Order: sequence, then structure tokens, then C-alpha cells
Amino acid sequence: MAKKFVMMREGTATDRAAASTAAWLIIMKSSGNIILMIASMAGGVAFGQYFPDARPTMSSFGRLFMALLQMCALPMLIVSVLSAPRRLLGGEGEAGHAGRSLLAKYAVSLLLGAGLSLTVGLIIRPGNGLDPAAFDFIDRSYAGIQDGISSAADKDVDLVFFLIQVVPENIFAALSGGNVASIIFFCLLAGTAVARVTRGAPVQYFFGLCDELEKAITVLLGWFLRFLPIGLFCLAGSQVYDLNSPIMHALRNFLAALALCYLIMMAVYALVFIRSSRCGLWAGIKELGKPFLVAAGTQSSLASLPVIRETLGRQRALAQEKSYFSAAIGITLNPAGSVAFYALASLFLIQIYDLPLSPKAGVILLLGAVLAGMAGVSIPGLAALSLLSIVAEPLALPHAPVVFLLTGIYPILDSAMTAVNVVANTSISALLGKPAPMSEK
Amino acid sequence: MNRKLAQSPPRAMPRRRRSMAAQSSRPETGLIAVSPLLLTLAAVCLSLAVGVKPGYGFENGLARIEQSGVLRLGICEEDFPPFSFRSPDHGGWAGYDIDLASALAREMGVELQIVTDQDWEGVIDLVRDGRADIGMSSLSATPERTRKVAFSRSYIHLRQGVLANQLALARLAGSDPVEKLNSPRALIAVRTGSVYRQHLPNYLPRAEIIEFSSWDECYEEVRAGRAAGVIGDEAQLLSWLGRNKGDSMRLIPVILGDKQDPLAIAVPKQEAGLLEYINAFLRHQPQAPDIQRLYWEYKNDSPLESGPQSAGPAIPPSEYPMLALAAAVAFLTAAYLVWAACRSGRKPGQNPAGS
Repeated sequence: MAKKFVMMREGTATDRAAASTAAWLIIMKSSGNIILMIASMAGGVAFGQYFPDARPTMSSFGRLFMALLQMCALPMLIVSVLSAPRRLLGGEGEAGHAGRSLLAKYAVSLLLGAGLSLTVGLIIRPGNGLDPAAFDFIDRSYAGIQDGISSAADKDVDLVFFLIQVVPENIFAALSGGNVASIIFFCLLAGTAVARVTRGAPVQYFFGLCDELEKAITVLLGWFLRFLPIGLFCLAGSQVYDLNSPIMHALRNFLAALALCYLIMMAVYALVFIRSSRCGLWAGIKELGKPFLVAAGTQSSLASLPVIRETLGRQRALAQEKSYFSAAIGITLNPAGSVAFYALASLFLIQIYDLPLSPKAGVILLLGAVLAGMAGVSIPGLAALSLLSIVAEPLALPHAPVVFLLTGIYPILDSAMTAVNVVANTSISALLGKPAPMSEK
Repeated sequence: MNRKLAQSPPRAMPRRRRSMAAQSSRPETGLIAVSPLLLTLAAVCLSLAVGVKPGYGFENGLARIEQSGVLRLGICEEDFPPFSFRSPDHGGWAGYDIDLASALAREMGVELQIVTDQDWEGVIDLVRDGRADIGMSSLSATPERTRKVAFSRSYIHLRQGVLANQLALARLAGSDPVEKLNSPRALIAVRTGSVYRQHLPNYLPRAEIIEFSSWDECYEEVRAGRAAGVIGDEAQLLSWLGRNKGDSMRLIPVILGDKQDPLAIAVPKQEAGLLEYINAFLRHQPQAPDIQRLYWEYKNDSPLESGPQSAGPAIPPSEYPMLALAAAVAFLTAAYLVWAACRSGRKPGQNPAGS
């Protein structure tokens, strides 16, 4: 009897182990399933809400997953950008055209963000009739405003500041610090220089090495992406937002305007992606959903790069080399979501002080928002909000109170901004990776 | 309370009498040896006759308050939250200074009575002239005031600052807010005759000073943007900011580095004993909290609930050109991207880059 019981127990344990292994394999195999990803994030939020004590552990695992993605993303970015000028822009006669086309599409994408947020902001007018709770929030935290002013005043943020951020004084320091804009700048220049070198065997060997390295990183990434649902579960669970905070209520018109703007932008980008990659509506949404969710979860464009690459790699209608290159440099050159945010925040600032928006001020605002959005990529965290001064200072506007107000909702803003940036980057990369029309041949 | 008043003097007095009796019972050894003793006795008798006990100010000042059963506190008529202000709940005086003085009165076993005057200098005069036993109301212990009264040890230090108009500040040259305010183009408002009028040239030597007869006028000038800022201490800046909720977007407190204002209790100059008593009392008080916390603690109003937020007024006609421009940019860019995506390329699967 006792022997039978032991056998039963062993059998049960074995069955359980087999069942959990099967479940694990199913999860691993369907790790790219968009429904599973959404379920993981929703489950993470619910778990973090009901078990707050588990948040630190979830945060640790989430950070570990992000570190794995970023570990692959940086070499992938370097290899893509370094070898791209040779493959794409270095071709005789095509360099100028390809470069112009690339920059033109980025400029259009950024202007779409700025123009749309200005249009929405001018119609909704989130800065007029600001909620009294916002003033109360500022009154109670005046020391914070003082600090905000000081920190913003520490940096003389303008075009020169942006260029200083982009041009690396020490490329190794930029690499170790993960300064994406500086790395892209250096790799672009270095790649162009290498492409100009005589086309001997060593140069071919160099590019061959880049290709092999890229393939190896892709394999490595494939392993890590199997853990995507678990990573998203942990990341979502560790970032629980207080949606009932007074500042959320106070800024609800601003958030509504930004949400509307982002929705329209995403619709346009989804259309661009679907048409470029020649996939169906649902398939296109599913494909874009993956980088969108990863960006919203990780709040990092760099960490999302591997997922963008995977998404683009599945689109057989695209020239992958071009789209990979665009995805890599698009992190810095195409932050459309950030540009839309800075444009709307600047307009919000103007409306709070009841100042008229002249066409001259409007042009300063448009260009300043583009510059602030691009500079924001190289400035991590809350400090990126101080870039509002790029627009505010030429217009002689005090930006500290608005920076202070936005600080209260920054985690949500950061998630939304990064997600839209990544969707914009994926779509424009698909557009750039689209083979040239027959007529142009 | 009154019981303690009745007991205190008899407790002190017999000790003195015993001492004097002991001295007088000593045998006389000669005229030279006796003369200092006689002189001392004569001095003591004289002082008893005129009611002054030399060297015993502690007993004198404290005894007078205890005998009267009332500690008269001199404060400003004007509200200075969180130190002294009329409570909106009960209409009486409230604040940190009032609470501190009440605790002092409790310690002495007497009742607190409040005497008011128009301004801080008036409070100093109240104490000097003996119309108040002590003066508070966020009084700064300045060297000038020590000519009239004595000050206890400081019970709180307030930083000096300027409540600046943000738009005016943004138009001034400089990177640091203090640097901006310390420029010849910056107009700083100050009340005539206040301590800040004397200190302002030291704090912001390059700024232009404009004087007004009341703080309200100073505040209104800054609010309207005609002056860049009004100088005051942290508590004043918070109090001004708290007047109108909408002002916190237009006005900002700028702290002037290490400039600090020690607040202390004023006592009559001759009351050295009372001063010692108050200092001992203050030493046993818990350390004063951060001014901002103190302000909100005493202000005691709950955070504003967010009300129905209006969608804002209609678009002003002056912004029509900008709206048209932004809408055109948004529409054209979106149309271009979609058009570029829709342009026919090679057939799917034909990948020229051969990835």
C-alpha cells in the first residue's frame, strides 16, 4: 500500500513536471504572440497591484531582461551603422540620393509629430483654464520648483548644447555610457571613411566580419526574445502608476490632447507600415504591436531595437539592410513621439501664460520641438524635460513650473513617448526599406 | 496657576533674609573690616526700599509676570502665517509663535495675553516701553533692534528670498535666477522702513529698488509684472504665494543663497533674568521643523480637489494663421508618408539587397 502511494506520488510529480515543461515550451514557442504579450503585461500590472511586496523582485528581473536586450542592441547598432554606408550609401551615384531620401523622410516624420500636436493643442487648448489642483500641487512643492529652476539653469540648452551632446569627445566613454546619439554619429563617420578606403581584401574582411557578428548577435537575440513575455510581465509589474494622483487629474486636458495626437500618429504610421511591408491590416497591427509593447514596457528605444529588427526581418517585401540601418539611426534621428510631446508641452506653456502664438513664435516652437526631441534621446530620465528650455528661452517663457508639473506624470509620458518613437521608427524604417518604385529605375 | 504665583516669592525671599542675618551676626573685628559689610547692608536696604534687587533680574522679571498672572505677548496686527495669523476657523490668533508663547506661559503658570501693533517696529516699541513682556510675530533679531530690546536665542532660521515674476525673470539676462535678479534691469519692490530695505543693497547690489508703503502694494506690482520681484523671508514668500492659487504659475520664490534671518523673542533690555529663563525654555523645545512643512501644517487646508476643468476658450482669431499652418504641416506630412508607402515597388519577395 505504502509502495503504491509512493509510486502515485512519484507519478503525480512526474506528470506535474511534464505539464509545466509543456507549458513552458508553449510559452517559449509562442513568445512572439501579441496576445500573450498583452496578457503578460496585464498580468504583470495586476500581480504588482495585488502583491506590492513582489515589486522589487519583479523590478530586478525586469532590469535583467532589459540588460540582456541592451547588451545585444548596442553591438547590433554599431555593426548596422558602421557597415551601412558601404552597403547602402557608398554605392556610386546612389549615396547622395539615398542620404537625401533618408533625411527627407525623417524630417517629414518629425514635422508630422510637431504639426499634429500643434493642431490638436490649438484646438483643445489644454493650457487655458488649468485645474486649481495643479496650482495647489505647485504651491505645496515650491522647493521643488526652486530646484527645477536651478537644474534647468545649470544647462545652457541650445543648438550648440545639442551638438556637444552628439559629438563624442571620447568614443569609448560614449560606448560605456550608452550615449546612442554619439555612437551613431561616430559609426556613421567611421563607416563612411571605411567605405572610402581602397576596396582591398582587408576592407572586405572588415565588412565580412561585421556581417558574421550581426548574424551571431541575431542568434543570441533569438534566445533572449523567448523570455519576452516573462520580461514584460516583470517590467509591467514593477511600474505601477498612480492613475488617481491629483496631478493626473489636474493635467487631464494635456494628457487627453497628447493621447489624441499619439493615436492619430500611430494610425498614420500603421498605415505607412502596412502599405510598405504589404501585409494585411491585422497582420500589420500585430507586427507593430510587438515593438510598441516592448517600448512601453522598457521605456527604452535602444532596448526595443532588437525587437524592431526582428519585426522588420519578418517582412519579406522589404530590403532588410536598408530598414535595419534606418531602424538603428532612427533612434536618434526619428523620435517623432518626443517631438510631438515637446511641441505640445511648449504650446501648453504659452497657453498657461495667456501669450499669443504669433507665426514667428510658432516656427520657433516647431523647430525647437524637433531639436528638443532629438536631443532628448541622449539625455536620460527626467533631465530630458529640461529640454523644454530650447523652446521656452527664445520665447522668454518660464518653463520651470511646467517642467515641475510634468515631472509628476513623467513615467507615463516616458512610456507613451518611447512607444510612439519606436512605432514611428519601425514604420519609417519599413518605408525606407521598401524597394524603389519601378518608375525610378 | 495663581497658586504658583503666590508661592514663588516667599520661596525666594527667606533665603536672602537668612543670608543677611548670618552676615550681620558676625563679630566686629574693627572699623576697616566692618565698613564693606556696612556698605553692602546699606546698599541692600536701599535697594529693598526702592523695590529693585540688583543682580536678581530673573526673579524680578519673572515675578512681575507671575504676580500679574499674565504674559503679554506683542505681535503685529498683520497676518504672518505660519507664525502669527488670525485663524479662519475661530477668528482668534493662531500660529507657531502663538503656540510657542502659549507653551512659555504654561511653563510660567500664567495666562497669555496678546497685544498688537501695526508693524514689527511697533512690536519692538511695545516691548521697550513695557507694554508687552515679550515680542514675537516672526521678529528678526537684527543688530539695529538690539539698541532697543534684547533678543533670546533664535528659535528658527528663515532663508531670505525674492518672490519673482516668472515672465519678468525669463526676460532678464543671466543663467541663474539670483544672477538675473541682481541686474540693473531688475526692479525689486520692498516696503519702506522694513529691515529688507536696509539689507536689499547688500543682497542684490546691482538691482534697482522701488519702495512702497505696504507689502500688498509690493506684491501687486510683482504680480502685474511691473516689478521683477519682492524681497522677503521664506515664510512671507509662501504666504504671498498662498493668497491666490493661480499665482503659483506666475510667481516663483528665489532663495538668496546663504542669507538667513534668525527669528527670536524680544524682551526688555533690563530683563536679563527673563531672557535667561526664555533661553532655557527654548533650549528644551523640540527643534523647529522645516518652514514649508510648518506652513502647510498651520495653514491646515486640505489639498484642492480637481474641479471640472473647462476645455478652454475658443481659438482666438490671432491664432488662426498658426492653426492653419500647423494643420497644413500635419496633413501634408501624413499624406506624403502614406503616398510614399503606397507607391508601387518591386513585387514582394524580390529583395534587391539580398539579406
